[in-house]
Amino acid sequence: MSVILAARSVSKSYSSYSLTGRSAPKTVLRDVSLDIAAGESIALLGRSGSGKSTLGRLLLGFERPDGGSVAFENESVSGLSGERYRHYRRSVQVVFQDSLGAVNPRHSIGRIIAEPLRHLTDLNEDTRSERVRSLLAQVGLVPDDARKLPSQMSGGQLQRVCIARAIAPAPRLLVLDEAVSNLDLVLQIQMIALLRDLQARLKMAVLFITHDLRLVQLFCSRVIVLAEGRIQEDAPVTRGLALRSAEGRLLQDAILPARPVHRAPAFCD
Amino acid sequence: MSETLTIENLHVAAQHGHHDHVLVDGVSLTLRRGRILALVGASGCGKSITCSGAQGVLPPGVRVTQGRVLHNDTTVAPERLRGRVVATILQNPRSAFNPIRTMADHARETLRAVERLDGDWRSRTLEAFATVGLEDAESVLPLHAFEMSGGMLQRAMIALALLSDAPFLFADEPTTDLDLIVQARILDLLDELARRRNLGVLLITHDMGVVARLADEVAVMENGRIIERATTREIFDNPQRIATRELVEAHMSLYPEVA
Repeated sequence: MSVILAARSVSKSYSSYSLTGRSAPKTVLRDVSLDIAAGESIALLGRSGSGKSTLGRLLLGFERPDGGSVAFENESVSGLSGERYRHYRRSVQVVFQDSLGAVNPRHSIGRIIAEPLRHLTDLNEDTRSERVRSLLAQVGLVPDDARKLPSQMSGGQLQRVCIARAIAPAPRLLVLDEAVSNLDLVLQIQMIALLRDLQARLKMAVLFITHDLRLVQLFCSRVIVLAEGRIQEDAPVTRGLALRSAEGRLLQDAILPARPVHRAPAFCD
Repeated sequence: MSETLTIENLHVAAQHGHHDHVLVDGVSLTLRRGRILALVGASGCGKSITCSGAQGVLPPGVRVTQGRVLHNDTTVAPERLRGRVVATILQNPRSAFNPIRTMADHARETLRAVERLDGDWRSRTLEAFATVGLEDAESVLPLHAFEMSGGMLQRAMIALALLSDAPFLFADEPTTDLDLIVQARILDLLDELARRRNLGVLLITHDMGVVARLADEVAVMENGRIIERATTREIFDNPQRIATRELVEAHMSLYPEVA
């Protein structure tokens, strides 16, 4: 399988600034290497602060690594320009957790979904609106929704809009950064079903950033466990998955019970 | 008879132009000390509004149109309820704290609100911080919310809730924004505190895993009404209504090896 996007020994640290000056840099990623092949569905699993979102941001080109490099189709992202850069921007798309914060509240849904088409493709206006109609249908919304404003939609519907926008330029890789975490459980599962279906139909690779191992088992074929900025484990997802690294086991043990557990009564009436 | 807190026939409406949009439509619930009652349902079904309606802390334009809250058999006004009879913890601990105040300020404010601020506040606060597992409680006092992690903040919020010594606790999605490892620890903590302090808890959640871990009984809400109420085991084994079945089935689909 051809590798679409690769992190090669990337590291990243952040400093915070205050009135007293710059703090000691905090290392968020240390020497992380990861290959994402065409059509793969990879889960990036870790607790808060493990560096999983930062790795996502480096892969998306939102930030540059301090060390190492990110390569798109075997070319370093930092060296891309012109049409090659546009091709990279089209090919790697993202859906974030907070859908309301990810859209302009004054723009119609149609305009929001068409935005990457305006910037990243040469489609004319008629073809764009045709494409928006088809995208709305693909994520389970209706053509009339194109005229609505974000405030007129529910959280689940708006996340579908963000998914439609992300798949609009036909990306080869979709990064989902806790993209279902804000939704209630029934909606989360509907959204996973939609994403699985889209992934198979559009033959995209998916990088699913999450802390919930239960969702990984529904959606991904490979899981990467991240802790303290390092990859702890890289394992195929199988039925009855048992993670081996210490961090993987902690995450697995933290899974909530499937069935009611017995709670001892606190007192007697 | 154990001590109870009853929400009776609560109606909440939002005003839209000249007509009312009903958000909570005659909800009645009884909490008993030492028991954890989960209130579950899809987003927008009215769970959180029930909780804030009972305490008289609704957003502007939304009001209680009918109903009352009883502590044992006595009607209690919302302002006498908050902090005294019911303590509350919320979903997003970061936005629940005043960003320019320290944890010590918040503790003093909490105690002042229930008229219990005295020379002893410091040791009581340190004790509450220790109870919720905030290590090195002394060093937490001067911290601001931005200097703390999500898990620490949720522990601090629980500590502030304990300071009031209220017999009942409303926990509105207490672990939704936390990662699974922190979530498991906070749920252990709530379980232990509810038992040790004999708290009556109203646990609002959309995650049946949280319900399975913690709740004794479940009330299912849909479109502003309670549509089903049973023990946790009954809800999992024998759900009666479609909405309940959907919740349980969605949850069970996350556990392919159990189903």
